[in-house]
Amino acid sequence: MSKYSSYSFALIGATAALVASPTGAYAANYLSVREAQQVLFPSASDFQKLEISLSTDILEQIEEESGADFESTDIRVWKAIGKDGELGFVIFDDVWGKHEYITYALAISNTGEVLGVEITDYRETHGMEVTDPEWRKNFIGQSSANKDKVELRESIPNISGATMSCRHVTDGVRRNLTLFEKVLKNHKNA
Amino acid sequence: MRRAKPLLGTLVEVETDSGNAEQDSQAINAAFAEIIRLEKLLSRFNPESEIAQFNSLAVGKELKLSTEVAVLFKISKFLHKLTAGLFNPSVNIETAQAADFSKISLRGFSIKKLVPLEVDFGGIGKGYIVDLAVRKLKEFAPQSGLVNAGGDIKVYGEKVYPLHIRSASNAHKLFFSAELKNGALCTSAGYFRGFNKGGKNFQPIFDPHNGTAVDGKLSVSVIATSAWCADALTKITSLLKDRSKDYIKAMNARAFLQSGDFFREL
Repeated sequence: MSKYSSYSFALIGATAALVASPTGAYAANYLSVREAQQVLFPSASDFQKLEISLSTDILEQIEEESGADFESTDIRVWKAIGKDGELGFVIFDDVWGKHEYITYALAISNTGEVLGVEITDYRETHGMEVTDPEWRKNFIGQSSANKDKVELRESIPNISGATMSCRHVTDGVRRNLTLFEKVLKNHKNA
Repeated sequence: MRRAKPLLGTLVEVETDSGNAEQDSQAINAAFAEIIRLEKLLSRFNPESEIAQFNSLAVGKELKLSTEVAVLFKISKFLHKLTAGLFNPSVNIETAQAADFSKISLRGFSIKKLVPLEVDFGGIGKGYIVDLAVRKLKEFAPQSGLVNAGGDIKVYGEKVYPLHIRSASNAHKLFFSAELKNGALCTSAGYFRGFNKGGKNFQPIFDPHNGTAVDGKLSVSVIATSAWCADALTKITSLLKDRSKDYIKAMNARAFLQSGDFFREL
């Protein structure tokens, strides 16, 4: 690209008045469960959901060993099946941070190697805030013409702001690798 | 198609709109692979990276650089000169003070340090990686696309992309909306990475001449043709505010300052 190429930029309502009418918390949805599975295991022809229930003992062991706590005991794991058999696992997991709530999908090979991480959802609010009347006030006064702007799940395309940390995803990946070692590696579906 | 991965210590989004899912997927994969490759090449913490090799290099010894790293040194030297030393990615490890970045000799792809110093391209590296990721994305999806590395955004093609900038006083609120076509927008602010000293918040951007840090409540956004330029100019404008006007003009950029409810174009 030539350094003389030009850009165009337009400000929309870049006034102080906009401060008083926040567009709500930021949320972005990237991939559905199915899409994330396909992106992580493009050659898979089938994904089988595993029924995983962990005893308190094993949960605590995994947390202690990985140094990362479970955010939910609902373990969402699929086995990826290809032409020549099992390819590995896809785990969907949620992590909470101070500023963010991230759902991501992690692909692990049969030998416990990380094959990829895809963020599937990102939002800067906990789900429970939706029912908090104070928080809901954020949306009051938004016109119905702007309805698409105020929906919680609305995907606001692009935010420029300082770096948000993905540290919690790293912690979650570590916890799930421990889950693989302790449980998934030897898992047989009942 | 839009996807995101945890890379460069942040959330990196890549988007293309070719209309062909397979082409989009291939393009996005290529852009992510390029970011992973560059992160390894430029990380100060990876002992095999050229940056780590340069940092441990003895004074007077020569090191051959890859094109990407040589270009990064070149543009940094250019910015260092343009800003009379304010943009400075070098540090003297022994004294923990800014070093003299001009005491690096770069001939073609061969580099030498003339005094003991180490470099850290934290003030420009993310933007630079965004530029190169966009170049890769474009190879596979020439129509239009976007790369956003934790707020360092670049878009290309005919598509006009809507953008939002966070409020400097409340990171959960969006301050203003804008549209960008064929350019880069970077924002530097304190909300996610400030530090506290004496009850006041600061950002980890320091004036190399006197060591003072930038006010944590300030947010600076810069629009330019390339993300390396916008990234570096946010740091320079955070330090100089109105006095950075000439540099903004020299780089054909635009800068916006935000503090509390206060917002203006420089």
